[in-house]
Amino acid sequence: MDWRQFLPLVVLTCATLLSLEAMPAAASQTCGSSSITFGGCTGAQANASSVDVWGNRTTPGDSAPSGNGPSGSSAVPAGWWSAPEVPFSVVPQRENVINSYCDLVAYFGGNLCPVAPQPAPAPAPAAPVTLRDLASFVPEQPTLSLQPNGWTVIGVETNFIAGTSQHVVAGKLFGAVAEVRFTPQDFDWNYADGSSATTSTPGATWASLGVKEFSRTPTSHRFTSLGTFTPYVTVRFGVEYRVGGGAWIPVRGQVSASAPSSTVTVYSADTVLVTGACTPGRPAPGC
Amino acid sequence: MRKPTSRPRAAIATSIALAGALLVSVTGCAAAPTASPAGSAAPSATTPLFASDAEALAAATAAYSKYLEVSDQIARDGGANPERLKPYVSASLFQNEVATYTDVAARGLHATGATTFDTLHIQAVTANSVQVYACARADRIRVMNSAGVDVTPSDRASVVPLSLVWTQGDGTKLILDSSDRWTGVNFCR
Repeated sequence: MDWRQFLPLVVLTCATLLSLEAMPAAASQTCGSSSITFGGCTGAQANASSVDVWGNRTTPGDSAPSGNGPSGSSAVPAGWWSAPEVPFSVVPQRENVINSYCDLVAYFGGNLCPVAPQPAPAPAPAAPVTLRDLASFVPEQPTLSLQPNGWTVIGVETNFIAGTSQHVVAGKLFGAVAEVRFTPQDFDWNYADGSSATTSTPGATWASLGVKEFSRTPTSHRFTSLGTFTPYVTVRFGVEYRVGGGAWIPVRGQVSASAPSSTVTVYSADTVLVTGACTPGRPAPGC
Repeated sequence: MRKPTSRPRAAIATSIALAGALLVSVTGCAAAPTASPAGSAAPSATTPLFASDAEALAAATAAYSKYLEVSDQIARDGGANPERLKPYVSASLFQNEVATYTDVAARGLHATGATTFDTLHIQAVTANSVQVYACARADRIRVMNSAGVDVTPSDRASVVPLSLVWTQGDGTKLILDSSDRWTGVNFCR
């Protein structure tokens, strides 16, 4: 007996149990009376770095389109069968429907399904088909800028600024527009010198804050040792979603995105007395 | 001040915790811990909206009956005039319902029968909200197409565990703020 025949069963068991256990903690699935009657509850779940928005739809048995393209029939909304568009940073997926154990084995490459003779085509009405559409959304990547840029002096304030703002990422769910709104909430700064901090502000330049250079800011940091460091910032976004317009529905949890790290070299600075200006080419003694 | 939990809620939480622990221990599958239903409710520091759980439960039952009555009528009317639901639900839930009814109307569907519910349990009563667990039943409502053929989805859930939240509207009126499917262990029978 080939043990691999049982692999799908193990996978299915684990997947089922995982879905039972993992979903309730962060899932939000709006399910009003209309969805209970007609099917089609939508929901969203925040993962570590993305948001999944899903919905179910069932084609009515008699009015299910027979082709694989847009029907044009008034009974079938536009985009019902069309391949979902894939805008920037959106990865829609369509789940496979597995109805039996042999289907499951076939899905994993096995062959347990009995081979039946092909029946003659019959004009039987189309059976209802349930489709689940899932779109995954990721926030735009933030940026990190430093003042001064690329260098600093030990013990002097270095100003860190995260570049991000509230933004909406759109995708398609069964032809309808699904949108996720990301709102930056928390900023986790890792200065790469063993210290870190969390702020609720992205920071701002000294000029825009109206303060002198090298002033202390809510996001500034003093390096206390020499060397080259690669600090980075991770932004945690609050998430809301909506399908087909309407009000935004909050999603529990946060989604994170990190900016590419920057490199900063920390130098030392000593105060010395010199006899004149340290002009390049004609340095005074002590320069 | 009343406790935010009651015996049924504690029983549900215990069942979920035991079921989760058993599933993980038996299978060895890694999984995130399951949140207890009562864990999402915070006790209010001010006067609750209702003097007792019984009073809150009665109000929630009446409010949900009215909501289902109106929404079922819209479903029987093929999704026409969904604004009838507006006085009873929050703006976000209304938008969600309208999206479904618009789709239903475009597909030429309508419903026959009515939705029922049972197993209401108070989750929490705060100064301005009532949170309830409920089981909505769809086994007495069917979906028909324009030719009068029953096209009820074969895999439609006949019973749906829900977490319902009402907030205070004008006066003592309750507005259904959210109707979320409970995705944990099914407490409906």
